[in-house]
Amino acid sequence: MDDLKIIEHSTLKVPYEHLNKMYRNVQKSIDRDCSSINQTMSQIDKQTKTLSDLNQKAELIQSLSNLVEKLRLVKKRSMDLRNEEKEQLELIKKRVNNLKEHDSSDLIVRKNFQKNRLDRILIDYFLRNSFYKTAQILVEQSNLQQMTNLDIFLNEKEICDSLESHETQKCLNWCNENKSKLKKINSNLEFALRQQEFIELVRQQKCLDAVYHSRKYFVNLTPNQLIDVQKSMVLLAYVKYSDNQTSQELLSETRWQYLIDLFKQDNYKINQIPEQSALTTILQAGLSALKTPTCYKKVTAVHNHNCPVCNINFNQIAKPLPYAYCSNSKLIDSYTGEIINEHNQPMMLPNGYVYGFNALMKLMSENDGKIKCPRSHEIYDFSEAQKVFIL
Amino acid sequence: MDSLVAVEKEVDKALDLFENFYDVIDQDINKVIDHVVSIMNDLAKIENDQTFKLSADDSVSMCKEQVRDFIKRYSEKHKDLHANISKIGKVIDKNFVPDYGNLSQINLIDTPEKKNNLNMAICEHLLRNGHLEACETLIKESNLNEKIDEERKKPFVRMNYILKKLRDKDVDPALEWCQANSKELKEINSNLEFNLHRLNFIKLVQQGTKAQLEALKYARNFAAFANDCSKEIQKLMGSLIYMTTGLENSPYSSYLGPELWQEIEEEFTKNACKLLGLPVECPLYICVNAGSKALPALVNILQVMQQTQVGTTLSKDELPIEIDIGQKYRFHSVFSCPILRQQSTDTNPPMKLICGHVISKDALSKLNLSGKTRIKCPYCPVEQSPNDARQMFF
Repeated sequence: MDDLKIIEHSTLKVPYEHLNKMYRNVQKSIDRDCSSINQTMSQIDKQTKTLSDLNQKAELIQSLSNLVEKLRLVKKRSMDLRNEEKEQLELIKKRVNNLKEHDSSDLIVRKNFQKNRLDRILIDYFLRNSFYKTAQILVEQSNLQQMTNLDIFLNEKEICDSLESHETQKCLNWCNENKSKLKKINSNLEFALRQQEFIELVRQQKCLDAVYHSRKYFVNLTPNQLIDVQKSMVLLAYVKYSDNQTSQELLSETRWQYLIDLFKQDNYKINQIPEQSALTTILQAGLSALKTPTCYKKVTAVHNHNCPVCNINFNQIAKPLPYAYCSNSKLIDSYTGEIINEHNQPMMLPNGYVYGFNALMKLMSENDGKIKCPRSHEIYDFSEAQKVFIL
Repeated sequence: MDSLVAVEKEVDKALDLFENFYDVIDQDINKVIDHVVSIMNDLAKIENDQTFKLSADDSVSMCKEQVRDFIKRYSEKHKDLHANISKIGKVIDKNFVPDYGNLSQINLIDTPEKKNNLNMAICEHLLRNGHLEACETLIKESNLNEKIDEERKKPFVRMNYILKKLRDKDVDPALEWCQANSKELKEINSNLEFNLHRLNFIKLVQQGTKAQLEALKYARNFAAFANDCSKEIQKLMGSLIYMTTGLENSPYSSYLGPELWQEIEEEFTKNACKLLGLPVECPLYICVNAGSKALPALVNILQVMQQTQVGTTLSKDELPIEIDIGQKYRFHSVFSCPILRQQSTDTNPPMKLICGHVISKDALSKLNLSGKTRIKCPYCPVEQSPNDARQMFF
């Protein structure tokens, strides 16, 4: 299994899902066109059956020419539909080709891919956290229009904004557009929106309207929805003394935030966007793979400020994560940063500090043949250093 | 790679079929239109009541059949294409993993403080990569205002300017920066200044004979680096031979590729970050790269653990498998006891036996369970008192 397989599912699946939706709409559009042609044809057919003399000729020719007009229109529309579907298919192809750079034989292309991938992951993180402007700027500067799903999120933003200003219409329209998909995932969103509308009516003391509203929309309920409806109907009874806890919950502002979250969740689901951002999952794996006891001062050692886990920004984040597993010792010279192994043998000074052979040579050349321990500043002869064996 | 090829194959297939479908439909619709038009023309010519009725009946019913035939084909043939569309989806699902399984169960960023930390790390990444505008917008949108002050951004602004110029193949601002920081750069043994001069020199050589004198003059800049970079200087001067015929077909053609320019950007960023006291490589970049290496292995092992009912989540102490993220990303020494296979800590440090073999303190006390006065090294015949073992520090 490689990282492409794990990380890039949604990179391809999201445009595919869009293609699928588009395909269905095209089919609908084709069927509409077909039935409209069929209708015109039937009329002409009827007209022909009642023909009696030449006087009706002009009329029939006019009808036929209407048919030709209609056919030309359908022809033109079919070209638009063709382009739509073609473009979306080509978008998937472009993404595939971009992902191929992951295995390019050219080092620069590969490096560039990794850089771009990080940018893509960040853009996804920004969009999920409503940092829309930042996302847009980065998309533009890194030329990632075709590799990111900006449109879906901008559309989402519009609906979230409308919910935030206590409007349900846009979100309901969206529910309608995606009716069959929402049904498939057992979405509760539309019901929750209707329930909210009911609550708002009660809030405005329009109790009668609220009752009408409930008759119209609270039909075919699931058992759970029925309980919710009953809870909201209670509001009609004691809206004035809303110290009741359930009523307070229903009337509270946080319910709108709940709706926003619910909508976002469903929006991700039907667009095949993963629930969690790739960034946090990848970070989790990466920080764990890098984490050593030294990063949390469980081992006295020299500080290495290049280590991301030691970095102030990541140290807290990585705290609950497991350490990397290390079955064999891996030693790095604290002075030179070189690896210590059979080609650079570990040597211990009498004070217990270990350096690689190369480091001791370097230390001697810097201090007239004597070794000055960089950590304890004690001075030793080379003969005092003892070879150690790390298995 | 195979998975990508598999998806591409299906997409190509679908593209062909769609093109073909619309081509045929277009032809068909033209035929229908032509037919209707010809009927209209024929009818227009008829001047006899009887013939008109017969002919109209006849041609309209023929036309009807053709039109009905066409719309049926138009709708149904498009419906048939659905199989190919859904095949694409299936191939994607088959070749790519839709979620991270149980790995994503932990909420890594669970406090506002951690969220700020992460956003700060992202800001640093954006600054390092020349996305100053994106960084500033992020600061605003994520309310980091109080955390990042102008002073912190300042050195990056300069750095960004220099990087941008380097991207436009202008090395002068970078050279100025080197000269301003020459002492510090010398301390970290940087070759940056020489490499910048080298690029300028190559630029001159590329211009051909007309820049000959200038190139010679410019070569004097190399004098200061004669000790450290003599080999490279010899090579550079050698390139003068090919000035007339062009470097493209010379042994020096590698000077012309984009690699040197990409390298210089990286080298400059590393040097600048070092002088600023920042990590040489961006921590976020390292984490994400290490993560993309580790993720497949972890998702895999979790699947296996689930199948064999060993467990469903990762342990909190240590990852279940070793992940090789490369020497470059190892930042600390890790001593793992060869007997107990445990990583050492300050309470269980590595101990050196007299013979030079190293084991952990816990392993040493296990060897000495019976409280004997002498123990034998597990790896060689040497015997010693447990008290002779010495704690070591890496």
